[in-house]
Amino acid sequence: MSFIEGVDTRQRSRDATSVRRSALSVRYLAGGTFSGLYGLLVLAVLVAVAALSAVGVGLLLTGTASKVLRHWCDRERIRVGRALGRHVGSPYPGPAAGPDGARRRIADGTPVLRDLAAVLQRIVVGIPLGVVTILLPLVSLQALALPTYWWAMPDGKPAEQLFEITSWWLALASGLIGLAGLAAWSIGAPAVRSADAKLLELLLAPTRDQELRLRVRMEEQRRRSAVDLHSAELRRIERDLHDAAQNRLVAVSMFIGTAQRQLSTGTGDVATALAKAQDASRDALAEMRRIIRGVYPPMLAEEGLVPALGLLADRMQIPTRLRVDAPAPTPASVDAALYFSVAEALTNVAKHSNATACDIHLTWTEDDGEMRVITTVTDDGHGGAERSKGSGLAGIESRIGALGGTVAVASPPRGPTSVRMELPCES
Amino acid sequence: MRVVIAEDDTLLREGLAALLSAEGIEVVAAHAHADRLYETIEEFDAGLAIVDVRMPPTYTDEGLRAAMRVRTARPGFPMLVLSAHVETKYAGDLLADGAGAVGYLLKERVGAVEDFLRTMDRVVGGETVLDSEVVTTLMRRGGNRSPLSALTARERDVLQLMAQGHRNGDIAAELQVSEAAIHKHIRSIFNKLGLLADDAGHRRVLAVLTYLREQ
Repeated sequence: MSFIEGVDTRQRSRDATSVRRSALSVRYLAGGTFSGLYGLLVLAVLVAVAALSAVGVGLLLTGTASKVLRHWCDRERIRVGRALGRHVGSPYPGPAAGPDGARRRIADGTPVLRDLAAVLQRIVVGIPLGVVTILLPLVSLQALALPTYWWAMPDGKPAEQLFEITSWWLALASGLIGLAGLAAWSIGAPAVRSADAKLLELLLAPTRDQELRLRVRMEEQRRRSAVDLHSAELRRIERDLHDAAQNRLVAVSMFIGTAQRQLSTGTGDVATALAKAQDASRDALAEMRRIIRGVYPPMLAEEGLVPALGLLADRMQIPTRLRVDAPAPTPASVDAALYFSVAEALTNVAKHSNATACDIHLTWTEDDGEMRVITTVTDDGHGGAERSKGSGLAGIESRIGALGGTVAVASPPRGPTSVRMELPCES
Repeated sequence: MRVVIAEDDTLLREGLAALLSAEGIEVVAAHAHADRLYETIEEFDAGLAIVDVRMPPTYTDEGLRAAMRVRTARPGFPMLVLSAHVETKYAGDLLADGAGAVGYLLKERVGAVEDFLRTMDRVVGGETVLDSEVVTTLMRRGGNRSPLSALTARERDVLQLMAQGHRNGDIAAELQVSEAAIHKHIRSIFNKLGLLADDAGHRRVLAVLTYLREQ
């Protein structure tokens, strides 16, 4: 629905769009000057560090140099992406972990060389292009304006722009040249922008080979975090069984033993001991139920994801709405991850947000022939949720990430807070 | 007998204290942690400590480490360690000083009250008592290269019962043979494990230690 509306709007306002495109192109090309100047600075830093490395001390600064280069490239990727209207990825797998990360990337080699090529391209091509983009309209406007005032200039000091204006014919020619300049500027800018941005994209985006390698590495990371999550779960279950259920059963045995001893010695209150054994066995059963719920909620197994989430919503103190669009079947692993993640998000809402209402929205979409389920938990609380320790957001990220999904948290100060979880339905 | 208990589970701690009190055993302190176990023992002049292995703050082996500290400061102080599961390494740590007066039992053994009380007496009397589960686990792990593999099946049975802290008479009754036959088996075990006769008092403990080293 909204997609069709978008197409309509685009067709109706083609003229407005072309003006906007020209304006964006000018902004992009003019901004290229700054990129080029910043690039010069980056180059200066790199050369300085390289020179110092020959003496030894510079080696300590390679991390900083890499960071500066990386910052420049990331900034340029965003600019180029905006110009091309598509995402320009980075050949680097996520933020570098550990103090050695930056150096390792330098050691990786090839991407850095391509980064450097992009910096040089910006300096050599970007600066002149930007200067022309800024000066061309100014010069053109002046040339266009000449016919209106050349005759007023004092004798012996004729108006001069591209050439000396000494007659109406020359003034007219200047005006035409100005007009042509402006036309070339407004029409040519988008084409030049597109060509320039595409060239940069070639240098900044990962190559096919790198992309494959990145994907493999991301898959490895995903699997590792899945294994970590799994062992963390097992440890939690083990501890629950040990410290709760097992101790309760030991207590049952102990109280029964006490009762037996009292019967054989004829002392003490057997009924009390048995009542305690009874209590302990009831507690043990309650513990077992709690542990089972934590492993795989029976509601999820019996009724499915949506009713189980409905139950979570019903348990909330504040009004919580569950909306579901176009549901499609999901594997049990996805159901469980979503159930626990939504439960965690709702716990955050209840504990930290001070919200008066909460909304859970599930929608299934098909993307590239792959079904994805998108779950968003939104509250009208005071916002400012952070992925700090113990906020539960980290737990949600590892659960969703383990199944190849992504989590986006938006929580500006004064709210609202929304946690968006996107998961592929095929595991 | 004056006893100190360190057990973090409230119900178990209080249940155990009540159980012992009813038997006329004086529980002088019952704590939910093992932080000041040695000081508590000194303060109340206790004669036995009953300690759970898993204790706060990390719930791994705090209780065991507290027990080891006590044993370092006071070698041979009677120590009965309770554990939710069998960990032969823990048993090895506890027995390593060879001073005896150590018990290592699964927690649920408190349910068999009379056996449990007997075990307490034995530990206070200087004997080493290992949970039958520990011994079975060790037997399973023995392997071919172990000196234990030289033992006959009957000798293994005898060693197992010895490790559980049984006296020769009990072992004879259990295996339905004469006490003289048990003596013969034990001598043979000592020989095969290379334990010399001059260390008579501790040979039983050393035999058990051999188990623990042969993992």
